[in-house]
Amino acid sequence: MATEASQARAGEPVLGAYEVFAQTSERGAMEWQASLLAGSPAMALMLARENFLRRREIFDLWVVPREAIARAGGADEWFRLPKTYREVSDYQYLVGKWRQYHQQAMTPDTMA
Amino acid sequence: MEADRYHRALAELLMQLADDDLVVATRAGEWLGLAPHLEEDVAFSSIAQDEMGHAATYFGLLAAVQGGDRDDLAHLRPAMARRNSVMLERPNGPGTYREAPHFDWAYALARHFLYDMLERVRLDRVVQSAHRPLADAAAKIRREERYHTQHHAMWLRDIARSGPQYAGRLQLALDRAAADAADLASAGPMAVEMEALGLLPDASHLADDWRAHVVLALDPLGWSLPPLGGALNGRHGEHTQDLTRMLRDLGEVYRSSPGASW
Repeated sequence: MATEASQARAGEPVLGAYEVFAQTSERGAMEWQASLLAGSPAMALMLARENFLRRREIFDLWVVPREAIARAGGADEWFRLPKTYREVSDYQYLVGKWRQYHQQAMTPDTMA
Repeated sequence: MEADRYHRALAELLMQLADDDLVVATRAGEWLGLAPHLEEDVAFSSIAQDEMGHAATYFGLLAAVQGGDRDDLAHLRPAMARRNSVMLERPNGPGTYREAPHFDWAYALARHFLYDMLERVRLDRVVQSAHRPLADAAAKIRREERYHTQHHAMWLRDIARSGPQYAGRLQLALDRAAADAADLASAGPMAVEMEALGLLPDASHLADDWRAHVVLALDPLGWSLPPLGGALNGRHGEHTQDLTRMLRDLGEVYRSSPGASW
């Protein structure tokens, strides 16, 4: 059940959720920092600076409205399907097989 | 004689700068835990912390000029020795931060915005001050103030877009703040000396510049700057009981153990 505070009333200013990303250096990757609530993207940028990056030097800052993020969801079965067959290590046994067949191929019986 | 005049004008200017920042920082700091939402609580408190840091810098310069201890100057001077604008000493609303704080966020924003505009036009002058240590400190302070201005401008813009109910409340808050702001953009009784000695260049146009900046920001959003009022002039040391109470609370710990090193 929604609480009174979480219900958006008609005409009331609404706070939106934003995800905050920062880049430490020009060549560095954008990395997720935190989430926050703000009334507008510009406000979200300002609040991100004051809340999470006040004591750090950074190169750049992004705020992304949470609803702009397409989410797969933690329940997605795909993430937990067995994937070892995509690893080289899953095929190590072939080395032995190759060796075995190679040796068979070299015996006098098979060298007609 | 000339040196004495310079010294007195410089001390007056430093007191205006230091006392304004000390008082505005204290009132802003009282919002800790009470701002409209958590993120803004942190942002507004960190602005308060900036302002308090600026006050500490100015009190340090004042101590260097006239002797005495920076913290004594901040905490032990009586209200009538203070030079801050009366607008800055007013409470944030009914109640106190310790008891039943029914504070008014629109008023806090309106007041801080009017003060920010003053800081802007005043710092633009102070960075050219003939007192070099002050000019250097002001250059550093101005870099931070840019972000305070952004913060308040953003709030004003978002409120203006939120509909007439909220925009109307902000105009009422501006009216209330302006009712105490007659002394805000004044450089006080030694303004002429401050300008002539190069301590505060172009002091005579400070109020006009301030008004122009305020109107330029408010007008596109549909707000106006009401007539300025106020029977008391803080630049002359005239203050309300609100300041007396604030100083009593602020200096309570400091006075409890004189000479303690914090």
